[in-house]
Amino acid sequence: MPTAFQDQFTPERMTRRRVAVLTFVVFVTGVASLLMADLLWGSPLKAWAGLVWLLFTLLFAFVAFGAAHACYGYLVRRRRQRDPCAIGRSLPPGEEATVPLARTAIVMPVYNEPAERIFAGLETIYRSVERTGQLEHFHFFVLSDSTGPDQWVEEELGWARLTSRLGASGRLFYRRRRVNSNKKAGNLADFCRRWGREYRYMVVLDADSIMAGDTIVRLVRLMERNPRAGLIQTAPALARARTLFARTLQFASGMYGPIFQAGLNYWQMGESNYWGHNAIIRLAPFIAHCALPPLPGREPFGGKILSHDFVEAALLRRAGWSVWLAPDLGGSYEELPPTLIDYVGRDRRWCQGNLQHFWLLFARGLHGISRIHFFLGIFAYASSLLWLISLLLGTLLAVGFTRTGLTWLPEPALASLIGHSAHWQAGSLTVLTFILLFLPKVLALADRSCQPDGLAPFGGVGRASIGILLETVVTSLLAPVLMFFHANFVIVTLFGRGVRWTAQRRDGHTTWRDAARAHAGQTIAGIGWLVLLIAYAPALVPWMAPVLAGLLLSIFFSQLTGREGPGQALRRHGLLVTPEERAAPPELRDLETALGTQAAEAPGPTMGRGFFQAVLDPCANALHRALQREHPRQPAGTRRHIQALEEKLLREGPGALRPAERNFLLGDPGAMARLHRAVWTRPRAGLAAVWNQALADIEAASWKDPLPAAATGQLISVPRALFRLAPGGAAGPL
Amino acid sequence: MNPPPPRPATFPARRGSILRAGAYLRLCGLSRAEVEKFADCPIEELQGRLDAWATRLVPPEPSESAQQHAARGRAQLLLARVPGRWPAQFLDPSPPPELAEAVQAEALRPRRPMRPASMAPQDLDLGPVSDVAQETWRTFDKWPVLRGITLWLLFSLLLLSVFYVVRF
Repeated sequence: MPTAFQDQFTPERMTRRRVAVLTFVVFVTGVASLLMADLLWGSPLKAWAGLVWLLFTLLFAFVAFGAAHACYGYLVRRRRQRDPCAIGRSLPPGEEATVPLARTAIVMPVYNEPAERIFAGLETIYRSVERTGQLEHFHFFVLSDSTGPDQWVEEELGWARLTSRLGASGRLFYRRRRVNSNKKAGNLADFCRRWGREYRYMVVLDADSIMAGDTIVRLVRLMERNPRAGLIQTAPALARARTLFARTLQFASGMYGPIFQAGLNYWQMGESNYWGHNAIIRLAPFIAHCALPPLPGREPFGGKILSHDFVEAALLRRAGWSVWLAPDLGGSYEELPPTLIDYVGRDRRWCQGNLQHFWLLFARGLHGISRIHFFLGIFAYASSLLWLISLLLGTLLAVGFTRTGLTWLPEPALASLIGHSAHWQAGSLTVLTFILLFLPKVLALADRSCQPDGLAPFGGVGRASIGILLETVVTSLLAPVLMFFHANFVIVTLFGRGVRWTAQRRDGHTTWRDAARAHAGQTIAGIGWLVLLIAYAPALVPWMAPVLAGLLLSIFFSQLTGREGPGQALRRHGLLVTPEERAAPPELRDLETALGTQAAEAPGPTMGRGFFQAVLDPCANALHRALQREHPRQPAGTRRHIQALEEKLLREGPGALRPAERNFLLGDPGAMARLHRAVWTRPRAGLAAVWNQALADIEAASWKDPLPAAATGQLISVPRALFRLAPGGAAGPL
Repeated sequence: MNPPPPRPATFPARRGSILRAGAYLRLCGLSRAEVEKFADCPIEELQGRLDAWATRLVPPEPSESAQQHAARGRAQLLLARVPGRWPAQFLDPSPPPELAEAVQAEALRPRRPMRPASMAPQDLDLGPVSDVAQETWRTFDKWPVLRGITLWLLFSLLLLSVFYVVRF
């Protein structure tokens, strides 16, 4: 029997909504395009003017599309009953208990991420699910593709400690792939092939994801209530930002995000997109339809698909399963790269992944909306190149006008019909552009003001308004810098330069040296551009000032925003604050506690970390060996190679081996047993200084004072408590 | 399981070995007072006793070698914080049942039993535009000279355009 939600969600309504969005975009772009064409009409440089017009129209349509999201999102959120076509409406709060849960795997693919953050996040989510009283339906998987030897050992220890602390043996699992083929998509596919049939759903997390137990339980129930739903994507709120850069984007996301998400759902509904994490997936159709084929050609443009999420959503949709965004579902969080340099590093990967989707634009059998998702993903980066070209063309045209002495705005313009000049028309066009750019901010502010708690979660009316102004300044200076980066990424990708798969840095700051290295090219380009304009078209300088300022200040801007000091100073003054900062939800508070526990459990400096710890520490060594497969019959050559590596490690220390060699030893439990035994039993003469020093420090600390009461009984934390070194290097108080 | 190495013969070597044994036990979480009970036990002997005790506490699993059994036993007893919680019973030949239960509760189960599923890559007909693009890509790969010529032509076109705008 169809539910009230299914009555609302009809094809006619879908069409009506999409036509409404299209009408907005076409109308606004049409007017602007006509005014621009009229202004360029009198130009003697017809071909160039035509190209400028075309680029203007394309870019304006993109801006108008964004504004349409804000407008319709605002209208939907202002309705008394909110959006009747939001997936959350299919399960009214009173009916939740009537929907049974199903077996669900909560999976976290990781790749060389800090183990403390991985397991603190997982602990938070686990405890939150536990509090719902529905833990029995869930299993947790850490799916590691980590390649670093230190990460490998730290992840194992993190898993064992957390399993022990939570009493989660048989519920919390850890799997590491030795060969990480097909990157993250391959990691998830490997999980599906091994254990996918055990579960009806899979909740996919990122290493920095946090989800509330209630949200996860509700997602499962929503899937159960909507049997044709293949995937539900939550809209994660950004959290835990500390630098000025990250806090600005976090504020923007918190303030403007809800109306944009409502706007997205307004026209996408069951043909929404997948963002790669903080989403629930129905496993049977995912396994049946979402194994990714390689793309034609070679990387970076072809080969393995990098941005797998869009493609998986398209394949699910192609198979007849709906894909939903749940904009009204809270309790879903993620973190941001801390600095502009880290942010563009992530964009570099995303850009290449999105450009690969060009191949799929014309693929047969895909839904039209999936093609639009692909196009928008490509255009999100290609638009930067187009914007740069249009600015360069504008500059060249201005130079041409100056050289030829031609007038910029030939009369009569269309505006003369209502008694105005071409200058007035050009000014109106500029105003229209600014309206479209700023309308979302105004609507978001209005929407937030109408919420029951008003703007209090953002610091009140005054601070929220100042926050918006600050955010506008920062993002205005950021825009030309990103334009340069993205244009560069598009060009180098098109010319065949791929990107390596690297771990995302989740904390850190920008030094002057980093900033200078990253932005030198943009600064030089800005200086050159300014000189050209001053020499040939000084009248254009004020118009280009925002772009030029962004480029000229990029080093300073990147360094300033990439530090925690300014970000935290603003926070102390209540600026750029978000609801999650004002009143942290329980999960984010729990995360901080869990991170504290992880830090307390980390080994002290004497013990070293990761690989070093796996050789020296009795528990780390035994645990690592217990988790490895044995190699009963090794070829003689391999045995000799391992023996040579063991000897080198013992005599020269871990630094003498390459990461691949350390991984090789880690993969052999017999070698790790021999190394552990040798380090503890060999005479000093047979060991490298680094081992002798560590052993001497441990021995000295062991016989000094009694073990502190706080550390008693905490096996893994003992080393830190025992061997914490004072600044001078001597053993500290025990 | 590897046999423990022979005890060091000389007095300084034996003293060093005992010092290390103490440090090793402290690292395992044993209190200083309890460590002194093993004051005359060299590290080589201690490691052997620890392995033997661990294997007694944790029942073996099918298809598990003696070495792996010992490693798992050691890991479980250390994860259960046995040296800290039951210092007096550490390496005791007849440990209390709750100690054994605590060790067995730390069973290492990193993986679920597999239920393999087939997940074959999907066929995608990329359509005529992609075919043409793919063919161009292949041609460029096959004839790098052609790719170079195309790039230089584009660059020349750009220069010409700049010249045109500036001059006319």
